[in-house]
Amino acid sequence: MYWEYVAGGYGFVAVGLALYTTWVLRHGRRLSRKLPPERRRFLD
Amino acid sequence: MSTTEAAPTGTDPADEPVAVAPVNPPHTGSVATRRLGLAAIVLLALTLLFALVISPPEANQRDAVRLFYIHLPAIAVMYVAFLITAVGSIMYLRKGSVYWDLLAGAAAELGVLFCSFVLVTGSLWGKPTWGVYWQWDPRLTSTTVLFVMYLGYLAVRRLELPPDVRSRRAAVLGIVSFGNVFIVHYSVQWWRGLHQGQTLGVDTKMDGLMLFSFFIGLVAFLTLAAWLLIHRFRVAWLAREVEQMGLAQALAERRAETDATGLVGRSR
Repeated sequence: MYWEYVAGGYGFVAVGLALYTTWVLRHGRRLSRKLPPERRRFLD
Repeated sequence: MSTTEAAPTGTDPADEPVAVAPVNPPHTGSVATRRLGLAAIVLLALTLLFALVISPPEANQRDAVRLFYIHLPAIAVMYVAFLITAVGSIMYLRKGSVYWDLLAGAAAELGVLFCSFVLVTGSLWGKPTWGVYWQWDPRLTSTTVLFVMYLGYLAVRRLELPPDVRSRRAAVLGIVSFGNVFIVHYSVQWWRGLHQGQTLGVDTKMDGLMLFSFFIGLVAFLTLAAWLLIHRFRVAWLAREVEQMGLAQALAERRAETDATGLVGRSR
């Protein structure tokens, strides 16, 4: 009972997290490629 | 002969092993974030399993109570994120370090994202339990104000101003806005409204499996938020580096142009 509200809530959170995560990772890759490797000094 | 062995004397120097600098990959990941990300995925899968399958429906709210397992963890992440923004803002004003400023901005963005989850899941939970999606109750109103305030904070961070001026203004707003977190948290005690009182406390009486499902969700959301925060901070740092590199290049080009013009002028 009330599964439509549960699905709506979980769906919104899942889509929101997926979109934000994709944006952060892709934006990071794009910016990282613009820098010479020695300036990405926080990476292992 | 292995390439790591020392070349015997008398051989061509070109054959000698050369120390190669580690090549940093073009992304924001690292061993630590990969482990953290894996832990977050496992914990999120467990959250779904416990929240949607294993935990029982509640007597009055039936299955709508399952929204509790993401609603409350989202509130916890939102509070922590805005606390980090406040601490980062204070530290930026005290130390002037750009790292604190970037951390504050990254945490605020995360806080706004999770605040939107809080508002939407709360509204969807409200319909079956209260009969309405929304009412201007003190908790709901103060949370909306909090959301708008931090949207304003993010807008200030994008203003076309000198970086230090923009960062100082954002830091002041980041500290002031945190005051509203206390209003949100205590609003259910200070004012009578539709929203229930605090769910968890010393005298909490909750089914063991429901409480466990909530804690799994809390740990999963906090782990995921930590992973996202690290990546978002690194993206902000990269953006700053790219901007500085662009400025340095533009300055060098301008200087070269000026030198060339000067040479032409002198040759006439």
